[in-house]
Amino acid sequence: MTTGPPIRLKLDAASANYQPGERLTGRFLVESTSPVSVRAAELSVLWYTAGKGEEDMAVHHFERLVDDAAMPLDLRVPHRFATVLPASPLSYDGRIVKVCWCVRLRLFMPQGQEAVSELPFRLGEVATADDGQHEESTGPAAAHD
Amino acid sequence: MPSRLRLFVKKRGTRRTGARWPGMLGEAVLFLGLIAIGAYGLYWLIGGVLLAEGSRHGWWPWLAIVIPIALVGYGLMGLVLLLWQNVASSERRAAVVQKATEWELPVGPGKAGRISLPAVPPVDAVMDSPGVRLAYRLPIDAASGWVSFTMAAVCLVWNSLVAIFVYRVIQQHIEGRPNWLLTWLMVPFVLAGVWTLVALARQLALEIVIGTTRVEVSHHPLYPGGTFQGFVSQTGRLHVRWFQVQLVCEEQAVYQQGTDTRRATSRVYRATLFSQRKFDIRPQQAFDADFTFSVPASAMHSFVSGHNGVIWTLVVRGRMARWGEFERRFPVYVYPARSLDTPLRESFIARAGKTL
Repeated sequence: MTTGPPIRLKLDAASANYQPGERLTGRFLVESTSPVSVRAAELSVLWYTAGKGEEDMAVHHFERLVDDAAMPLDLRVPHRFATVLPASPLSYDGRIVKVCWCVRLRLFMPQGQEAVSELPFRLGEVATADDGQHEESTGPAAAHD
Repeated sequence: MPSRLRLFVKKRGTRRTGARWPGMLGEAVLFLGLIAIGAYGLYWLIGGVLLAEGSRHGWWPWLAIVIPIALVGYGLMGLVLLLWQNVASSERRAAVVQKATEWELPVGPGKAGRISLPAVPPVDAVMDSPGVRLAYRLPIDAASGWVSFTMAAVCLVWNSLVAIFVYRVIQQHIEGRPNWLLTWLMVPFVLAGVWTLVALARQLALEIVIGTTRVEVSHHPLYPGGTFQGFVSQTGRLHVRWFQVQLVCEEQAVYQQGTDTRRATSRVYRATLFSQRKFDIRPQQAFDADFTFSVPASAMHSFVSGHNGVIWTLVVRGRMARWGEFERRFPVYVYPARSLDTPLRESFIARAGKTL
């Protein structure tokens, strides 16, 4: 499923922390000296949930590059991508709900195999549930009879 | 390691430990089977009944034809969906859904120019209701109303069934041929019925005696780092032991366990905004209180997706003499702080317009 050529997926920014409305740019290529045969390549900027619940996912930016006779797909040459990040959902590391952002590259090989590479990044500055957001339970103890 | 055929695999919700292809093959066989059965049913009904018997068959074949058509339709839909799931990657499918529903636009003007963000619930329900003291009156969470409705439905169904049996038992006693086994068997069922009646009466009395709770806020949506004014008003005829208003943030996750769908909740933030002990509320004079509250600067915004959510709520809770504790929840929406920043908001709206 995930066997394939070595993929290099890189963001231009030095840090993987972005703010809503910021422009995310990067490039991807396959590190190989000989030509790599790939039917198609899909690049997505997406968020997904992790944790206790079933996974939800939404794609913010999607590009599909197809290998055809008129325009052969040579992944040894760097391909650039760019998108403006949305206002939400922000990255979140909660107790049972986590929101993760990533850039995902999926290559479709001629034999039906797929190779996937993923580069996580953070959107926004939300604290994790266990450090920033805690229970301030001053009320009930004082209020209960 | 190459995957091998295993008869028993452990399934964890939609995640599984085995290979996917046997399941897909099974699904394909099932859908093809449904199509084949439906097609044969159609052939038999049309060729063997409708055309062969002329008009002697009556109306029933026209009614029965719905069954094979439904089977063919369901099978075809399942097969197309299965093919689409295997031909296209999950990202491509999500992108198609996004394009079709325009759900995942960065931001766009909502109802009456209100901001609308991906995976953040809209605030229309709150903003459509102006308050008396402050700008917005918060709607109460519908769940508390459903408790009374569900209790009433259970009480009605249970006691109706029990009444039928009790009537039969009494009739047998009157006719002089009592069935004592059935009579004694009815006792726990009657007691359970009485218990549902008492519980329903108590729930309704609680709703009536405690009266109306009104919560208003000065701003909406809320945003992390902001400080807001709040107002709570409680009516009724009560001796209150303690009364509180809390700001609560909960994570909610829906997951499959076997064939059950379960919901897990984890409270990640709770702050008591107002608290008062031992006072009386009279029918002529509602209890009113103002309070100030803040949302932590690094807090997560309200978030909702298919199976996961981050829910912010103002909770009014208290304990009344003779009536016990009560809790009423008023959902509020916390938006990401930068989305309310005017230049960013305008640039998003302009970009969303161009995308459209």
